Amino acid sequence: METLLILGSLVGLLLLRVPVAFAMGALGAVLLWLKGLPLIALPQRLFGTMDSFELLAVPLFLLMSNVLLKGGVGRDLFASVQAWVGHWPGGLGVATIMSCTLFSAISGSSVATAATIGTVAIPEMKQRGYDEPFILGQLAAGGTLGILIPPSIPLIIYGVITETSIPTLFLAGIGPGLLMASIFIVYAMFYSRMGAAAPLEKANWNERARATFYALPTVVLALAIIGSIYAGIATPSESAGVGFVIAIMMTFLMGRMNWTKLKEAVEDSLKTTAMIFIIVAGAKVFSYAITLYLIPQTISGYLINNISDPTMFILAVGLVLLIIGFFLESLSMMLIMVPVLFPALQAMNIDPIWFGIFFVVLIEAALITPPVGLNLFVIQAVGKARLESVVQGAWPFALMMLGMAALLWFWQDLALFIPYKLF
Amino acid sequence: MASLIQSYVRVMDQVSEVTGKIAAWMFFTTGIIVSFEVFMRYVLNSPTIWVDEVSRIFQVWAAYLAIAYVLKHKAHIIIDITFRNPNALNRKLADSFAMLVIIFFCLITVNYGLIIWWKSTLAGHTTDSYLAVPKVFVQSAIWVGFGIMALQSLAEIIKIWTWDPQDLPKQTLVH
Repeated sequence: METLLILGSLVGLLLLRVPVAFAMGALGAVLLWLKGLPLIALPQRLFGTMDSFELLAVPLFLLMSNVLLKGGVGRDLFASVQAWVGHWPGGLGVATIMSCTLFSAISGSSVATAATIGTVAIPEMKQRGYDEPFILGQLAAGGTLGILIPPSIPLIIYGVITETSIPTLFLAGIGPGLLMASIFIVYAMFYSRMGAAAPLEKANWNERARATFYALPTVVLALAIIGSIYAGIATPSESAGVGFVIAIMMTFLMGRMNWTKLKEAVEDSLKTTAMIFIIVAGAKVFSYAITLYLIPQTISGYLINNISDPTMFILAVGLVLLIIGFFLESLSMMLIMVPVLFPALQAMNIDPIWFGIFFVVLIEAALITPPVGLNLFVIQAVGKARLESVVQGAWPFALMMLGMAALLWFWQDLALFIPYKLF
Repeated sequence: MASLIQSYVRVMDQVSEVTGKIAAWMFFTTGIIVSFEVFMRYVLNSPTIWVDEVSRIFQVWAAYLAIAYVLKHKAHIIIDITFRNPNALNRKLADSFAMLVIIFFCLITVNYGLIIWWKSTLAGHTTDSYLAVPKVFVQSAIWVGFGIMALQSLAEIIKIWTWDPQDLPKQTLVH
Protein backbone atom coordinates (compact mmCIF):
# COMPACT_ATOMS: atom_id res chain seq x y z
CA MET A 1 0.00 0.00 0.00
CA GLU A 2 2.78 2.38 0.99
CA THR A 3 4.59 1.58 -2.26
CA LEU A 4 1.51 2.34 -4.37
CA LEU A 5 0.90 5.57 -2.49
CA ILE A 6 4.47 6.78 -3.07
CA LEU A 7 4.54 5.85 -6.76
CA GLY A 8 1.03 7.35 -7.18
CA SER A 9 2.21 10.62 -5.59
CA LEU A 10 5.12 10.77 -8.02
CA VAL A 11 2.82 10.22 -10.99
CA GLY A 12 0.43 12.87 -9.60
CA LEU A 13 3.23 15.44 -9.30
CA LEU A 14 4.43 14.68 -12.83
CA LEU A 15 0.92 15.06 -14.23
CA LEU A 16 0.66 18.42 -12.46
CA ARG A 17 3.60 19.55 -14.63
CA VAL A 18 6.18 19.58 -11.84
CA PRO A 19 9.62 19.18 -13.49
CA VAL A 20 10.73 15.55 -13.14
CA ALA A 21 13.83 16.43 -11.13
CA PHE A 22 11.91 18.44 -8.55
CA ALA A 23 9.00 16.00 -8.35
CA MET A 24 11.49 13.29 -7.34
CA GLY A 25 13.50 15.61 -5.06
CA ALA A 26 10.52 17.11 -3.25
CA LEU A 27 8.81 13.74 -2.80
CA GLY A 28 12.09 12.31 -1.52
CA ALA A 29 12.34 15.16 0.99
CA VAL A 30 8.75 14.62 2.23
CA LEU A 31 9.39 10.87 2.59
CA LEU A 32 12.51 11.50 4.66
CA TRP A 33 10.62 13.98 6.84
CA LEU A 34 7.67 11.59 7.36
CA LYS A 35 10.06 8.91 8.60
CA GLY A 36 11.66 11.42 10.95
CA LEU A 37 15.00 11.13 9.16
CA PRO A 38 17.43 14.09 9.13
CA LEU A 39 16.90 16.31 6.11
CA ILE A 40 20.55 17.26 6.25
CA ALA A 41 20.96 14.23 3.96
CA LEU A 42 19.39 16.32 1.19
CA PRO A 43 22.25 18.78 0.52
CA GLN A 44 24.74 16.00 1.23
CA ARG A 45 23.21 13.82 -1.49
CA LEU A 46 22.98 16.74 -3.92
CA PHE A 47 26.61 17.60 -3.35
CA GLY A 48 27.81 13.99 -3.52
CA THR A 49 26.00 13.38 -6.81
CA MET A 50 27.85 16.13 -8.65
CA ASP A 51 31.19 15.49 -6.94
CA SER A 52 31.96 12.75 -9.47
CA PHE A 53 34.66 12.66 -12.11
CA GLU A 54 32.81 9.92 -14.04
CA LEU A 55 29.78 12.21 -14.51
CA LEU A 56 32.02 14.82 -16.11
CA ALA A 57 31.87 12.74 -19.30
CA VAL A 58 28.30 14.02 -19.82
CA PRO A 59 29.03 17.77 -20.24
CA LEU A 60 32.26 17.12 -22.11
CA PHE A 61 30.71 14.76 -24.68
CA LEU A 62 27.84 17.24 -25.07
CA LEU A 63 30.29 20.10 -25.59
CA MET A 64 32.16 18.09 -28.20
CA SER A 65 29.07 17.10 -30.17
CA ASN A 66 27.65 20.64 -30.03
CA VAL A 67 30.92 22.10 -31.33
CA LEU A 68 30.91 19.57 -34.18
CA LEU A 69 27.23 20.28 -34.85
CA LYS A 70 27.88 24.04 -35.13
CA GLY A 71 30.91 23.26 -37.29
CA GLY A 72 28.68 21.65 -39.89
CA VAL A 73 30.04 18.15 -39.41
CA GLY A 74 26.61 16.62 -40.10
CA ARG A 75 26.75 18.01 -43.65
CA ASP A 76 30.23 16.52 -44.25
CA LEU A 77 29.25 13.09 -42.98
CA PHE A 78 26.08 13.00 -45.03
CA ALA A 79 27.83 14.18 -48.22
CA SER A 80 30.60 11.64 -47.78
CA VAL A 81 28.33 8.66 -47.17
CA GLN A 82 26.00 9.82 -49.95
CA ALA A 83 28.93 9.80 -52.41
CA TRP A 84 29.55 6.13 -51.62
CA VAL A 85 26.04 4.71 -51.31
CA GLY A 86 23.72 7.27 -52.90
CA HIS A 87 23.32 5.13 -56.05
CA TRP A 88 22.09 2.10 -54.06
CA PRO A 89 18.34 1.41 -53.97
CA GLY A 90 16.99 3.75 -51.28
CA GLY A 91 20.44 5.37 -51.39
CA LEU A 92 19.60 8.55 -49.50
CA GLY A 93 17.79 6.52 -46.82
CA VAL A 94 20.88 4.31 -46.48
CA ALA A 95 23.11 7.39 -46.36
CA THR A 96 20.93 8.89 -43.63
CA ILE A 97 21.22 5.84 -41.37
CA MET A 98 24.96 5.52 -42.02
CA SER A 99 25.43 9.22 -41.20
CA CYS A 100 23.44 8.76 -37.97
CA THR A 101 25.65 5.77 -37.12
CA LEU A 102 28.84 7.74 -37.71
CA PHE A 103 27.59 10.77 -35.81
CA SER A 104 26.55 8.44 -32.96
CA ALA A 105 30.21 7.55 -32.53
CA ILE A 106 30.98 11.15 -31.53
CA SER A 107 27.67 12.06 -29.90
CA GLY A 108 26.08 10.48 -26.87
CA SER A 109 22.67 12.02 -27.43
CA SER A 110 19.81 10.80 -29.61
CA VAL A 111 18.29 14.26 -29.93
CA ALA A 112 21.59 15.77 -31.10
CA THR A 113 22.04 12.99 -33.65
CA ALA A 114 18.49 13.34 -35.00
CA ALA A 115 18.75 17.13 -35.18
CA THR A 116 22.23 17.20 -36.77
CA ILE A 117 21.59 14.67 -39.51
CA GLY A 118 17.93 15.66 -39.89
CA THR A 119 18.84 19.26 -40.73
CA VAL A 120 20.87 18.04 -43.72
CA ALA A 121 19.03 14.88 -44.79
CA ILE A 122 15.38 15.97 -44.64
CA PRO A 123 15.55 18.71 -47.34
CA GLU A 124 17.70 16.46 -49.56
CA MET A 125 15.36 13.47 -49.29
CA LYS A 126 12.27 15.63 -49.80
CA GLN A 127 13.81 17.11 -52.91
CA ARG A 128 14.44 13.59 -54.27
CA GLY A 129 10.79 12.67 -53.80
CA TYR A 130 11.02 10.35 -50.80
CA ASP A 131 7.78 9.72 -48.93
CA GLU A 132 7.54 12.30 -46.08
CA PRO A 133 6.48 9.96 -43.23
CA PHE A 134 9.32 7.59 -44.19
CA ILE A 135 11.90 10.41 -44.12
CA LEU A 136 10.74 11.73 -40.77
CA GLY A 137 10.34 8.33 -39.13
CA GLN A 138 13.72 7.22 -40.34
CA LEU A 139 15.42 10.32 -38.92
CA ALA A 140 13.61 10.03 -35.59
CA ALA A 141 14.67 6.38 -35.32
CA GLY A 142 18.18 6.86 -36.76
CA GLY A 143 18.80 9.53 -34.13
CA THR A 144 18.23 7.01 -31.35
CA LEU A 145 21.37 5.15 -32.47
CA GLY A 146 23.18 8.01 -30.71
CA ILE A 147 22.45 6.48 -27.31
CA LEU A 148 23.29 2.87 -28.19
CA ILE A 149 26.52 3.32 -30.12
CA PRO A 150 29.24 4.61 -27.78
CA PRO A 151 29.70 7.18 -26.36
CA SER A 152 26.23 7.24 -24.84
CA ILE A 153 24.94 9.63 -22.19
CA PRO A 154 22.24 7.23 -20.88
CA LEU A 155 24.90 4.50 -20.55
CA ILE A 156 27.15 6.91 -18.60
CA ILE A 157 24.24 7.72 -16.26
CA TYR A 158 23.36 4.00 -15.96
CA GLY A 159 26.99 3.22 -15.13
CA VAL A 160 27.09 5.94 -12.47
CA ILE A 161 23.83 4.91 -10.73
CA THR A 162 24.45 1.15 -10.84
CA GLU A 163 28.22 1.40 -10.31
CA THR A 164 28.94 -0.70 -13.38
CA SER A 165 31.88 -0.08 -15.69
CA ILE A 166 31.14 2.65 -18.25
CA PRO A 167 33.78 1.42 -20.77
CA THR A 168 32.28 -2.10 -20.57
CA LEU A 169 28.80 -0.68 -21.17
CA PHE A 170 30.14 1.25 -24.16
CA LEU A 171 31.63 -1.94 -25.63
CA ALA A 172 28.37 -3.82 -25.08
CA GLY A 173 26.47 -1.18 -27.05
CA ILE A 174 28.54 -1.66 -30.22
CA GLY A 175 27.09 -5.01 -31.42
CA PRO A 176 23.39 -4.17 -30.95
CA GLY A 177 23.99 -0.63 -32.28
CA LEU A 178 25.55 -1.82 -35.53
CA LEU A 179 22.95 -4.57 -35.98
CA MET A 180 20.14 -2.08 -35.42
CA ALA A 181 21.70 0.29 -37.98
CA SER A 182 21.94 -2.61 -40.45
CA ILE A 183 18.28 -3.50 -39.93
CA PHE A 184 17.29 0.14 -40.58
CA ILE A 185 19.42 0.14 -43.75
CA VAL A 186 17.80 -3.05 -45.05
CA TYR A 187 14.38 -1.55 -44.31
CA ALA A 188 15.31 1.64 -46.23
CA MET A 189 16.39 -0.44 -49.25
CA PHE A 190 13.29 -2.65 -49.03
CA TYR A 191 11.04 0.41 -48.70
CA SER A 192 12.58 2.02 -51.77
CA ARG A 193 11.82 -1.11 -53.83
CA MET A 194 8.16 -0.52 -53.03
CA GLY A 195 8.05 2.72 -54.93
CA ALA A 196 10.06 5.33 -53.07
CA ALA A 197 12.33 7.74 -54.90
CA ALA A 198 14.89 6.74 -57.50
CA PRO A 199 18.54 6.39 -56.46
CA LEU A 200 21.11 9.11 -57.20
CA GLU A 201 23.61 8.92 -60.02
CA LYS A 202 26.78 7.07 -59.06
CA ALA A 203 29.46 9.50 -57.86
CA ASN A 204 32.86 9.33 -59.56
CA TRP A 205 36.08 8.64 -57.64
CA ASN A 206 37.04 12.31 -57.52
CA GLU A 207 33.73 13.25 -55.92
CA ARG A 208 34.05 10.38 -53.45
CA ALA A 209 37.60 11.32 -52.51
CA ARG A 210 36.67 14.97 -51.99
CA ALA A 211 33.62 14.15 -49.84
CA THR A 212 35.57 11.60 -47.79
CA PHE A 213 38.41 14.07 -47.20
CA TYR A 214 36.04 16.45 -45.39
CA ALA A 215 34.42 13.70 -43.29
CA LEU A 216 37.69 11.96 -42.42
CA PRO A 217 38.68 14.16 -39.42
CA THR A 218 35.36 13.36 -37.73
CA VAL A 219 35.79 9.63 -38.30
CA VAL A 220 39.37 9.79 -36.97
CA LEU A 221 38.11 11.72 -33.94
CA ALA A 222 35.45 9.07 -33.25
CA LEU A 223 38.05 6.28 -33.50
CA ALA A 224 40.47 8.21 -31.27
CA ILE A 225 37.82 8.64 -28.56
CA ILE A 226 36.84 4.99 -28.44
CA GLY A 227 40.44 3.84 -28.97
CA SER A 228 41.84 5.97 -26.15
CA ILE A 229 39.27 4.57 -23.70
CA TYR A 230 39.99 0.93 -24.55
CA ALA A 231 43.73 1.33 -24.86
CA GLY A 232 43.62 2.48 -21.24
CA ILE A 233 45.06 5.86 -22.19
CA ALA A 234 42.14 7.90 -20.90
CA THR A 235 38.97 7.51 -18.84
CA PRO A 236 35.67 8.30 -20.63
CA SER A 237 35.70 11.79 -19.06
CA GLU A 238 39.28 12.48 -20.12
CA SER A 239 38.60 11.12 -23.58
CA ALA A 240 35.57 13.43 -23.84
CA GLY A 241 37.71 16.40 -22.72
CA VAL A 242 40.40 15.69 -25.30
CA GLY A 243 37.72 15.09 -27.96
CA PHE A 244 36.19 18.47 -27.12
CA VAL A 245 39.48 20.33 -27.49
CA ILE A 246 40.28 18.50 -30.75
CA ALA A 247 36.76 19.31 -32.04
CA ILE A 248 37.35 23.02 -31.39
CA MET A 249 40.76 22.99 -33.11
CA MET A 250 39.45 20.91 -35.99
CA THR A 251 36.47 23.14 -36.72
CA PHE A 252 38.58 26.32 -36.41
CA LEU A 253 41.21 24.90 -38.79
CA MET A 254 38.49 23.96 -41.29
CA GLY A 255 37.25 27.56 -41.10
CA ARG A 256 33.88 26.39 -39.79
CA MET A 257 34.01 27.87 -36.31
CA ASN A 258 33.86 31.41 -35.01
CA TRP A 259 33.31 33.06 -31.67
CA THR A 260 29.51 33.30 -32.07
CA LYS A 261 29.14 29.62 -32.96
CA LEU A 262 31.42 28.55 -30.12
CA LYS A 263 29.39 30.63 -27.65
CA GLU A 264 26.17 29.03 -28.92
CA ALA A 265 27.67 25.54 -28.64
CA VAL A 266 28.84 26.16 -25.08
CA GLU A 267 25.50 27.62 -23.97
CA ASP A 268 23.41 24.92 -25.68
CA SER A 269 25.50 22.24 -24.02
CA LEU A 270 24.90 23.85 -20.65
CA LYS A 271 21.10 23.62 -20.96
CA THR A 272 21.24 19.90 -21.69
CA THR A 273 23.89 19.24 -19.06
CA ALA A 274 22.05 21.07 -16.29
CA MET A 275 18.75 19.48 -17.29
CA ILE A 276 20.31 16.00 -17.10
CA PHE A 277 22.29 16.68 -13.92
CA ILE A 278 19.38 18.02 -11.92
CA ILE A 279 17.32 14.95 -12.84
CA VAL A 280 20.20 12.73 -11.71
CA ALA A 281 20.41 14.71 -8.45
CA GLY A 282 16.63 14.56 -7.86
CA ALA A 283 16.67 10.83 -8.60
CA LYS A 284 19.48 10.32 -6.09
CA VAL A 285 17.38 11.95 -3.34
CA PHE A 286 14.30 9.97 -4.38
CA SER A 287 16.09 6.62 -4.61
CA TYR A 288 17.74 7.24 -1.21
CA ALA A 289 14.31 7.88 0.33
CA ILE A 290 12.56 4.92 -1.28
CA THR A 291 15.43 2.63 -0.29
CA LEU A 292 14.85 3.64 3.34
CA TYR A 293 11.17 2.77 2.82
CA LEU A 294 12.35 -0.62 1.42
CA ILE A 295 10.41 -0.02 -1.80
CA PRO A 296 12.94 -1.52 -4.25
CA GLN A 297 13.21 -4.50 -1.92
CA THR A 298 9.40 -4.83 -1.69
CA ILE A 299 8.96 -4.67 -5.47
CA SER A 300 11.87 -7.05 -6.04
CA GLY A 301 10.49 -9.48 -3.45
CA TYR A 302 7.08 -9.32 -5.09
CA LEU A 303 8.55 -9.95 -8.55
CA ILE A 304 10.82 -12.78 -7.39
CA ASN A 305 8.01 -14.50 -5.44
CA ASN A 306 5.58 -14.30 -8.34
CA ILE A 307 7.87 -14.68 -11.34
CA SER A 308 10.56 -17.29 -10.95
CA ASP A 309 11.44 -17.62 -14.64
CA PRO A 310 13.95 -14.94 -15.77
CA THR A 311 12.40 -14.88 -19.29
CA MET A 312 9.00 -14.03 -17.84
CA PHE A 313 10.64 -11.51 -15.55
CA ILE A 314 12.36 -9.71 -18.44
CA LEU A 315 9.13 -9.85 -20.44
CA ALA A 316 7.23 -8.26 -17.54
CA VAL A 317 9.94 -5.61 -17.07
CA GLY A 318 9.97 -4.94 -20.82
CA LEU A 319 6.20 -4.46 -20.89
CA VAL A 320 6.27 -2.13 -17.88
CA LEU A 321 9.09 -0.07 -19.43
CA LEU A 322 7.28 0.03 -22.75
CA ILE A 323 4.12 1.40 -21.16
CA ILE A 324 6.02 3.87 -18.96
CA GLY A 325 7.99 4.92 -22.04
CA PHE A 326 4.82 6.19 -23.67
CA PHE A 327 4.51 8.84 -20.98
CA LEU A 328 7.88 9.38 -19.38
CA GLU A 329 10.94 11.05 -20.84
CA SER A 330 13.70 8.49 -21.37
CA LEU A 331 16.31 9.59 -18.87
CA SER A 332 13.70 10.06 -16.15
CA MET A 333 12.45 6.56 -16.91
CA MET A 334 15.93 5.19 -16.35
CA LEU A 335 16.52 7.16 -13.16
CA ILE A 336 13.20 6.17 -11.63
CA MET A 337 13.08 2.53 -12.71
CA VAL A 338 16.68 1.30 -12.47
CA PRO A 339 17.04 1.76 -8.68
CA VAL A 340 13.66 0.04 -8.24
CA LEU A 341 14.49 -2.94 -10.47
CA PHE A 342 18.17 -3.40 -9.76
CA PRO A 343 17.89 -5.60 -6.62
CA ALA A 344 15.56 -7.98 -8.51
CA LEU A 345 18.05 -8.22 -11.39
CA GLN A 346 20.80 -9.22 -9.02
CA ALA A 347 18.56 -11.83 -7.39
CA MET A 348 17.69 -13.24 -10.82
CA ASN A 349 21.38 -13.36 -11.83
CA ILE A 350 20.74 -11.07 -14.79
CA ASP A 351 23.93 -9.43 -16.05
CA PRO A 352 23.79 -5.68 -15.22
CA ILE A 353 25.78 -4.81 -18.37
CA TRP A 354 23.31 -6.73 -20.53
CA PHE A 355 20.39 -5.09 -18.74
CA GLY A 356 21.86 -1.63 -19.39
CA ILE A 357 21.84 -2.31 -23.13
CA PHE A 358 18.35 -3.87 -23.00
CA PHE A 359 17.11 -0.80 -21.13
CA VAL A 360 18.66 1.58 -23.68
CA VAL A 361 17.00 -0.28 -26.57
CA LEU A 362 13.64 0.17 -24.82
CA ILE A 363 14.49 3.83 -24.23
CA GLU A 364 15.08 4.12 -27.98
CA ALA A 365 11.56 2.82 -28.60
CA ALA A 366 10.23 5.26 -25.98
CA LEU A 367 11.93 8.13 -27.81
CA ILE A 368 9.87 7.53 -30.96
CA THR A 369 6.49 6.58 -29.48
CA PRO A 370 3.81 9.17 -28.69
CA PRO A 371 2.55 10.99 -26.71
CA VAL A 372 5.96 11.65 -25.08
CA GLY A 373 8.73 10.86 -27.56
CA LEU A 374 11.45 13.48 -27.61
CA ASN A 375 12.84 12.49 -31.02
CA LEU A 376 9.39 12.80 -32.59
CA PHE A 377 9.21 16.41 -31.41
CA VAL A 378 12.73 17.21 -32.56
CA ILE A 379 12.14 15.83 -36.05
CA GLN A 380 8.75 17.55 -36.19
CA ALA A 381 10.55 20.84 -35.45
CA VAL A 382 13.51 20.22 -37.80
CA GLY A 383 11.31 18.93 -40.66
CA LYS A 384 8.56 21.54 -40.08
CA ALA A 385 6.06 18.70 -40.35
CA ARG A 386 2.94 17.46 -38.60
CA LEU A 387 3.49 15.17 -35.62
CA GLU A 388 1.14 12.61 -37.18
CA SER A 389 3.49 12.25 -40.18
CA VAL A 390 6.48 11.61 -37.93
CA VAL A 391 4.54 9.04 -35.88
CA GLN A 392 3.26 7.34 -39.03
CA GLY A 393 6.82 6.95 -40.30
CA ALA A 394 8.32 6.00 -36.93
CA TRP A 395 6.13 3.10 -35.84
CA PRO A 396 7.77 0.43 -38.08
CA PHE A 397 11.10 1.43 -36.52
CA ALA A 398 9.62 1.15 -33.01
CA LEU A 399 8.58 -2.41 -33.88
CA MET A 400 12.12 -3.17 -35.10
CA MET A 401 13.48 -1.87 -31.79
CA LEU A 402 11.14 -4.12 -29.83
CA GLY A 403 12.27 -7.03 -32.02
CA MET A 404 15.86 -6.09 -31.17
CA ALA A 405 15.02 -6.09 -27.43
CA ALA A 406 13.59 -9.62 -27.80
CA LEU A 407 16.59 -10.75 -29.84
CA LEU A 408 18.90 -9.40 -27.15
CA TRP A 409 17.28 -11.65 -24.55
CA PHE A 410 17.60 -14.81 -26.64
CA TRP A 411 21.06 -13.91 -27.97
CA GLN A 412 22.75 -12.15 -25.07
CA ASP A 413 26.19 -12.46 -26.70
CA LEU A 414 25.05 -9.87 -29.19
CA ALA A 415 25.79 -7.36 -26.40
CA LEU A 416 28.18 -9.35 -24.21
CA PHE A 417 30.52 -10.93 -26.76
CA ILE A 418 32.59 -7.79 -27.41
CA PRO A 419 33.15 -6.75 -23.76
CA TYR A 420 33.55 -10.23 -22.25
CA LYS A 421 35.09 -12.37 -24.96
CA LEU A 422 36.85 -9.97 -27.28
CA PHE A 423 38.47 -7.67 -24.65
CA MET B 1 3.83 48.17 -6.77
CA ALA B 2 3.25 46.50 -10.14
CA SER B 3 6.40 48.05 -11.58
CA LEU B 4 8.36 46.97 -8.51
CA ILE B 5 7.22 43.39 -9.05
CA GLN B 6 8.16 43.52 -12.72
CA SER B 7 11.55 44.97 -11.76
CA TYR B 8 12.07 41.96 -9.52
CA VAL B 9 11.30 39.66 -12.47
CA ARG B 10 13.75 41.54 -14.69
CA VAL B 11 16.50 41.46 -12.06
CA MET B 12 16.02 37.71 -11.45
CA ASP B 13 16.02 36.96 -15.17
CA GLN B 14 19.27 38.88 -15.46
CA VAL B 15 20.84 37.13 -12.46
CA SER B 16 19.88 33.68 -13.84
CA GLU B 17 21.20 34.61 -17.28
CA VAL B 18 24.55 35.70 -15.84
CA THR B 19 24.92 32.68 -13.54
CA GLY B 20 24.00 30.40 -16.45
CA LYS B 21 26.68 31.91 -18.65
CA ILE B 22 29.25 31.61 -15.86
CA ALA B 23 28.27 27.93 -15.47
CA ALA B 24 28.57 27.33 -19.23
CA TRP B 25 32.13 28.66 -19.32
CA MET B 26 33.03 26.72 -16.17
CA PHE B 27 32.21 23.52 -18.08
CA PHE B 28 34.21 24.84 -21.03
CA THR B 29 37.20 25.49 -18.75
CA THR B 30 36.80 22.01 -17.26
CA GLY B 31 37.07 20.48 -20.74
CA ILE B 32 40.31 22.40 -21.32
CA ILE B 33 41.93 21.45 -18.01
CA VAL B 34 40.93 17.78 -18.31
CA SER B 35 42.64 17.55 -21.70
CA PHE B 36 45.61 19.47 -20.24
CA GLU B 37 45.91 16.70 -17.62
CA VAL B 38 45.97 14.01 -20.35
CA PHE B 39 48.65 16.02 -22.18
CA MET B 40 50.75 16.40 -19.03
CA ARG B 41 50.45 12.71 -18.18
CA TYR B 42 51.21 11.21 -21.58
CA VAL B 43 53.33 13.79 -23.33
CA LEU B 44 55.31 15.35 -20.48
CA ASN B 45 55.03 12.37 -18.11
CA SER B 46 54.15 14.79 -15.34
CA PRO B 47 50.56 14.32 -14.10
CA THR B 48 48.99 17.18 -12.20
CA ILE B 49 47.65 17.02 -8.64
CA TRP B 50 44.90 19.56 -9.11
CA VAL B 51 42.86 18.75 -12.23
CA ASP B 52 40.70 15.98 -10.75
CA GLU B 53 39.60 18.01 -7.74
CA VAL B 54 39.27 21.38 -9.48
CA SER B 55 37.14 19.84 -12.24
CA ARG B 56 34.83 18.20 -9.68
CA ILE B 57 34.47 21.49 -7.76
CA PHE B 58 33.72 23.30 -11.04
CA GLN B 59 31.16 20.64 -11.89
CA VAL B 60 29.30 21.02 -8.58
CA TRP B 61 29.25 24.80 -8.93
CA ALA B 62 28.34 24.87 -12.60
CA ALA B 63 25.57 22.27 -12.27
CA TYR B 64 23.77 24.13 -9.49
CA LEU B 65 24.48 27.64 -10.76
CA ALA B 66 22.79 26.64 -14.03
CA ILE B 67 19.47 25.32 -12.74
CA ALA B 68 17.79 28.74 -12.53
CA TYR B 69 19.02 29.58 -16.05
CA VAL B 70 17.51 26.31 -17.30
CA LEU B 71 14.21 27.13 -15.57
CA LYS B 72 14.17 30.59 -17.16
CA HIS B 73 14.65 28.97 -20.58
CA LYS B 74 11.97 26.32 -19.82
CA ALA B 75 14.43 23.49 -20.42
CA HIS B 76 13.70 21.36 -17.36
CA ILE B 77 11.99 18.13 -18.38
CA ILE B 78 8.27 18.04 -17.66
CA ILE B 79 5.63 15.52 -18.69
CA ASP B 80 3.75 17.73 -21.10
CA ILE B 81 0.54 15.74 -21.56
CA THR B 82 -1.86 17.57 -19.23
CA PHE B 83 -3.19 21.15 -19.10
CA ARG B 84 -1.81 21.94 -22.54
CA ASN B 85 -3.70 25.17 -23.22
CA PRO B 86 -1.37 27.98 -22.04
CA ASN B 87 -4.28 30.42 -21.74
CA ALA B 88 -6.46 28.23 -19.49
CA LEU B 89 -6.82 28.93 -15.78
CA ASN B 90 -6.13 25.30 -14.83
CA ARG B 91 -2.80 25.48 -16.71
CA LYS B 92 -1.81 28.61 -14.77
CA LEU B 93 -2.77 26.93 -11.51
CA ALA B 94 -0.83 23.75 -12.39
CA ASP B 95 2.26 25.72 -13.44
CA SER B 96 2.11 27.83 -10.27
CA PHE B 97 1.78 24.66 -8.19
CA ALA B 98 4.84 23.22 -9.95
CA MET B 99 6.82 26.37 -9.10
CA LEU B 100 5.70 26.14 -5.45
CA VAL B 101 6.96 22.54 -5.30
CA ILE B 102 10.31 23.75 -6.65
CA ILE B 103 10.42 26.57 -4.09
CA PHE B 104 9.57 24.10 -1.31
CA PHE B 105 12.42 21.78 -2.33
CA CYS B 106 14.86 24.66 -2.78
CA LEU B 107 14.10 26.21 0.60
CA ILE B 108 14.68 22.92 2.44
CA THR B 109 17.94 22.47 0.53
CA VAL B 110 19.06 26.04 1.20
CA ASN B 111 18.23 25.73 4.91
CA TYR B 112 20.12 22.48 5.49
CA GLY B 113 22.81 23.43 3.00
CA LEU B 114 23.48 26.58 5.01
CA ILE B 115 23.65 24.58 8.26
CA ILE B 116 26.34 22.27 6.85
CA TRP B 117 28.20 25.17 5.29
CA TRP B 118 28.16 27.24 8.48
CA LYS B 119 29.47 24.32 10.57
CA SER B 120 32.26 23.70 8.06
CA THR B 121 33.09 27.41 8.03
CA LEU B 122 33.33 27.64 11.81
CA ALA B 123 35.39 24.46 12.04
CA GLY B 124 37.65 25.50 9.16
CA HIS B 125 37.09 22.17 7.33
CA THR B 126 38.94 21.49 4.10
CA THR B 127 38.62 18.75 1.46
CA ASP B 128 40.56 15.51 2.16
CA SER B 129 43.04 16.08 -0.62
CA TYR B 130 46.49 17.44 -1.23
CA LEU B 131 44.97 20.76 -2.26
CA ALA B 132 42.89 20.99 0.97
CA VAL B 133 40.36 23.38 -0.54
CA PRO B 134 38.30 25.12 2.19
CA LYS B 135 34.82 23.59 2.34
CA VAL B 136 33.42 27.07 2.92
CA PHE B 137 33.97 27.60 -0.77
CA VAL B 138 33.00 24.15 -2.05
CA GLN B 139 29.78 23.59 -0.08
CA SER B 140 28.35 27.05 -0.73
CA ALA B 141 27.49 25.87 -4.28
CA ILE B 142 24.39 24.13 -2.91
CA TRP B 143 22.71 27.00 -1.08
CA VAL B 144 23.75 29.61 -3.64
CA GLY B 145 22.42 27.54 -6.58
CA PHE B 146 19.17 26.50 -4.96
CA GLY B 147 18.70 29.98 -3.47
CA ILE B 148 18.82 31.56 -6.93
CA MET B 149 16.53 28.79 -8.19
CA ALA B 150 13.92 29.58 -5.49
CA LEU B 151 14.03 33.28 -6.38
CA GLN B 152 13.76 32.52 -10.12
CA SER B 153 10.77 30.22 -9.44
CA LEU B 154 9.06 33.09 -7.67
CA ALA B 155 9.72 35.27 -10.71
CA GLU B 156 8.18 32.55 -12.89
CA ILE B 157 4.99 32.57 -10.78
CA ILE B 158 4.76 36.33 -11.29
CA LYS B 159 5.22 35.85 -15.05
CA ILE B 160 2.49 33.20 -15.15
CA TRP B 161 -0.08 35.62 -13.65
CA THR B 162 1.00 38.96 -15.07
CA TRP B 163 2.45 38.24 -18.51
CA ASP B 164 0.60 37.43 -21.68
CA PRO B 165 0.97 33.62 -22.18
CA GLN B 166 2.26 34.32 -25.71
CA ASP B 167 5.22 36.22 -24.21
CA LEU B 168 6.29 33.29 -22.01
CA PRO B 169 9.05 31.11 -23.46
CA LYS B 170 7.92 27.79 -24.93
CA GLN B 171 9.16 24.49 -23.51
CA THR B 172 12.67 24.03 -24.99
CA LEU B 173 13.83 20.86 -26.69
CA VAL B 174 17.45 20.72 -25.70
CA HIS B 175 20.29 18.75 -27.22
